[in-house]
Amino acid sequence: MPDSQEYRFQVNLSGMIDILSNHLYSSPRVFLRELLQNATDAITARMDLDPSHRGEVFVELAGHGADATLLMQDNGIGLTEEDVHEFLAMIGHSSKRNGTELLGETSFIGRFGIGLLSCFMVSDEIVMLTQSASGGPSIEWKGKPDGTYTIRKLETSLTPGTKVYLRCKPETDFYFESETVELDLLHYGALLPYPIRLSAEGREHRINPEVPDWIVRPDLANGSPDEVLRFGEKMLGERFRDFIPLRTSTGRTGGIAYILPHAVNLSAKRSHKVYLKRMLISEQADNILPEWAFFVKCLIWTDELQPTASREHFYENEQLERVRGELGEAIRDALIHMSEQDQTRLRRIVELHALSMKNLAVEDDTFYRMIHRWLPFESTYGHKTLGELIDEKQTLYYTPTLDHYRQLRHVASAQSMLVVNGGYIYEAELLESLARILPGTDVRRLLPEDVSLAFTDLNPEERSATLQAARAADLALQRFRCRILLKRFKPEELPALFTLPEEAATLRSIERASEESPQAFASILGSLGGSLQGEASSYSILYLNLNNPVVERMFTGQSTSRLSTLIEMLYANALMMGHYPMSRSELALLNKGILSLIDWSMESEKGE
Amino acid sequence: MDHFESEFEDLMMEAYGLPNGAAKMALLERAAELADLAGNVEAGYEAREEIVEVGSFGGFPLKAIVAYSWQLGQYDRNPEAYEAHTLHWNYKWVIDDVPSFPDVPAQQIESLLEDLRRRYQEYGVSDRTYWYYRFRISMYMGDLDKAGEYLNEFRKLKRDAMSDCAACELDEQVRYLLLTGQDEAAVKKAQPIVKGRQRCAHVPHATLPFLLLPLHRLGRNEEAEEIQPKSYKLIRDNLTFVHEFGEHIGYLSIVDPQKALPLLERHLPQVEGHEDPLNRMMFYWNAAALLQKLIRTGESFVLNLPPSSRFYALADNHDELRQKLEEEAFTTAQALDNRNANTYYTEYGKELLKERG
Repeated sequence: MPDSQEYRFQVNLSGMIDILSNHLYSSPRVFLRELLQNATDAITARMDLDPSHRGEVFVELAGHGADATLLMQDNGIGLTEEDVHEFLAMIGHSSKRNGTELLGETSFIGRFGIGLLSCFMVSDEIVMLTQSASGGPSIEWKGKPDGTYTIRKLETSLTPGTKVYLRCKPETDFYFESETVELDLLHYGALLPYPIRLSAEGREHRINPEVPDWIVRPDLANGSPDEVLRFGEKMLGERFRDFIPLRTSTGRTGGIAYILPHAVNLSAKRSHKVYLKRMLISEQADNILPEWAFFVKCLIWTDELQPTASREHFYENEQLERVRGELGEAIRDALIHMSEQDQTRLRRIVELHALSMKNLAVEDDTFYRMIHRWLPFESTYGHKTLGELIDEKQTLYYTPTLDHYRQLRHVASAQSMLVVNGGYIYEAELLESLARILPGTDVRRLLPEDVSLAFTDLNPEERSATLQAARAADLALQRFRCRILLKRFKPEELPALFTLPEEAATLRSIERASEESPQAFASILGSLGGSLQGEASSYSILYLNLNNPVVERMFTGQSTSRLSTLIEMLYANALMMGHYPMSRSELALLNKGILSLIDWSMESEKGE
Repeated sequence: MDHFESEFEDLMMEAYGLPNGAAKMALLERAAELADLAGNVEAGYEAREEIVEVGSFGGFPLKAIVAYSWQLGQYDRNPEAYEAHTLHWNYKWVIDDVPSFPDVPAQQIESLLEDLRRRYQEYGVSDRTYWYYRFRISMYMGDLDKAGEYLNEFRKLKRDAMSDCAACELDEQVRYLLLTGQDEAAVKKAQPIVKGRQRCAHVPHATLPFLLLPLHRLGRNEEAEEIQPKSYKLIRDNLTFVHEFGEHIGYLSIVDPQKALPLLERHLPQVEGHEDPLNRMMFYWNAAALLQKLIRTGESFVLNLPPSSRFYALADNHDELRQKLEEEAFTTAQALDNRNANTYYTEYGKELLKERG
C-alpha cells in the first residue's frame, strides 16, 4: 500500500499533553467539549459554504469499562490532506515555545488540532477518519501520545465530515460512561442549533432540546415567560420567578438574567452560564456583568468576546468592558421600566435584594434616583419603603448608627418624630444623599443631642426650685465630663437619657484607649484628646426627665446628701441602657452605688 | 456558643463583606464595644486590628490611631498572645497618619519614630523602614531637605520583611521629586507606574492624580486628559484619597472647571467629615481654587449640597463658601506650620490658589 506512510510529530507530545491536562484545563472531561467544539466549527464552516446544510452530531459509545470506545461524528466541512498536515505542523511549531501560541489559536485548523490533542488526556490512541466537503480522497489519521502518527488515503470515499474514535485509557473509563457523556454533552451543547444524538447501550436519542427562539432574540422572551422560567430551572438548577432579557447594542451578546429567588451575600461568587458561539464556555463567569448585579444569575451567549487559552473564561479587555457595561445597562433599563409599569414586580425584587440594591444606589445616583421609592427602611413609623416615608411629608430624621437609633427610638416615637434607622449598611449614606437626588426633601441627620429640641424646658418657677439640686448633680458628674440638663419629656417611664456628641464620643474612646497604651502612644493620645477637651461639645449630656416621678422626687423634694450617689447611679444606668462600654472608674460607680443602696436599706430597717 | 460570641462573629462576618468605609467602621466599632462590654480582650484586639486597617484606608485615621494604641498596649502586656508581624506592619500605617494632626507636637512624633525603630530592631528587621518613614514624615512636615537626606539613608539598605512594596516606594519617590519642583524627572520616574508595570492596591491610585498638573505644566495635555478619567475612576469610591480628589478638582479647575463641579458636590460632604486635617485642608484649597476660578471667569453655575452638609447654607453663596473653605484650610495650615516650625503649608496654600484659582 503506497498510500500509507509513517510520520513523526517533531514534538515532545507528552509535554504538550502535560501542559493541557495539568496547567490549562480544569478537568480531563473537557475533551468532550473540545471534540464538540471541533464538530461545531466544522459544521459552521460547511454552512458558510452551503447555508441550506443541516448540521448533525452523532456520538456512539461501545464496550464497557476498560474496553470502552467513543465515536464522535459530524457532518461538517471535513479535512483535506493538506489541512491535516497543516494542523500537525502548527502543533510542532508551537510546541517549541511551550505551546502557548497554539493554545491561543483562533483559526479553525489550529483550534482543531488542539482540540484533538486534548483527547490524549483520556485515550492512548486517536483515530480520525475525515472527508473534505471540497473533494479529494478520504483520509485516515492515527496518532499516539509518544508522537508517532500515520496518515493513509482511503480507497472508498466517505460522506463529508469527520469521525473521531477514542479508546479509553486505563483509569479514565469514568469519562466513557453513558451518564457522564450524556450529561457533559448537554452541559456543553445545550444551545447548539442542531441535534446531538447519542447512541449507547442499544438506544439512541437526542440530547439537546430545540433551541427556543427567545434565546437568540431575547426581546421575545417576555412573550413566553413560563417557558423561559422552566428553561432557566433546567439550565441553572434553580426555580426562578422573574427574569430580565439581555442584549447588547451589537446584537452579538444576549441572554436572560434570572432574578435570584433568594437573597445573596455581597461577596458571594457569581456563577453565570456563558456560551461562546453556542458552546458553553463557563459556569463561573464572574466578570461578564457589573459587580453590582449580584441579584441575577444569567444565561448568556456571545460571539464577540475572546476566550482565554483554556476556553473557560474571557480575557479582561475593552470589548468585555463594553459588553459588561451594556448588559448592566439592560438590567438597569428593565428596572426603570418596571418602576414605571409594574411596581408590584419591582417591589418584590427589591425586598429580596435590598442590600445589594442599596449598595448600588450608594455608588450610582441614576440608579438611586430610579429605585429610591422602593428601598425599605426601618423607622419610628414602622418598616416602610422610602417612598412611603417621603409621602409622610415630614422632616425625615435619620440616625447615623444603630445605637443612636435604639437610644432615640422611644423618645422619638413618644414625640411622633419620624426617625429612620440609618445604622445598617449603606443606609446613612443613602439618606444623606437623598436631598442631592431629590432636591427639596427635608432630610436631617439626628444626633442624640438633637432630640432635646423636642424636650420641654422647665418654667421659671421649676428652674429656681430645682437649681440647687441641679448644681449638685452637675458637680457629681463633672469628673466624667458629663453635664446634666433637667427637662420634661415623653415617655415618663424614662428617667434619664445619655447623649454623646461626636467629639465627646471620640474623647471617651481616646481616654479608654489611653488607659491601656504604651507611653509613646499615650502621650500622642493625650495631645489628640487635649485639643478636643476645650470645646463644650466634648461634654456628654445626661438629660433627666422631670416627668419621671423618681427624678421629680430627687429634684423637688427635700435636699438630700445622697443626691450625688443617686445621680451617679442614674448615669451608670443610662450608660448601660445605651450600650456604652464603660471605663474602669465608671464601673466603680456601680459597685459603690449598690453598696450604698444596701447600706441605706439596712439603716432604714434599723430605724423602723 | 454564648450570646456574645455569636453576636460578635456576626458583626465581624458582616464587616468582612464590606468595602472600607463608614458602614464597615460602624460594625467594627460595635464589635469592639461588645468585646469590651464582655471583657473579652482577644476579641477586642481582633476587632481593633480591622479598625486600624479600615481607619487607615477608609478615612478614619484618628480611630486607627486610637485602636492601634490600645492594641499595642495589650501586646506589650502579653506578647505571646498576639500575632507580631501584623502588629508591626500596621505600625507604619498609623505613624504615617500622626503628622496630619497639628495637635501632636513634633517631639512626640520624634519619640514615636524612635519607638518604631526600637520595636523593629527588636523584631529583627533593619532600619530601612525607619529611614523610609522618616523620609515620608519629613515630607509631610514640610522639611524637604531632611527628607532628601533620609531618602539617601533608606536607599542604602536592603529590602526586608517590613518594607513597603516596590510600587509604594516608587510612588513616594515620585512625590519627593514633585514636591521639590522636578516635574519632568517625576513624570519620568513615574513611568513604570503609569504604564502599569508597578502596581499594588494603592498605586497607581495615589500616583496619577498628582501627575495631572505636572503633565499639564510640561505641555503634555493629551496625556493628562487621557489619564484623568481613568485615575478618577480608580479612586472615586475610596475615602483614603481625599487629597487626590482635591488634585483632580484643582487640575480640572485649570482645564475645564465645569467638569470639576460634580466632583466638588460629591466629595465636599464626605470630606468635611473626614478625620484627617491635612488632607481635608488640601481638598478645601482645591475646592476654593475651583470656586475662585468660576467666580473670576464669571461662569454661571449651581452647587447642589445636601442639607446635612456644614456648608449647605452657603451652597448658593459661592464667594462666601470659597472664603470659608480658604479660611479653614489656612487655619489648619497655620497650626501645622506652628508645630513644624516653618511656613511650608501656608506658602503651599498661597501658591496653590495662585496657580489653580
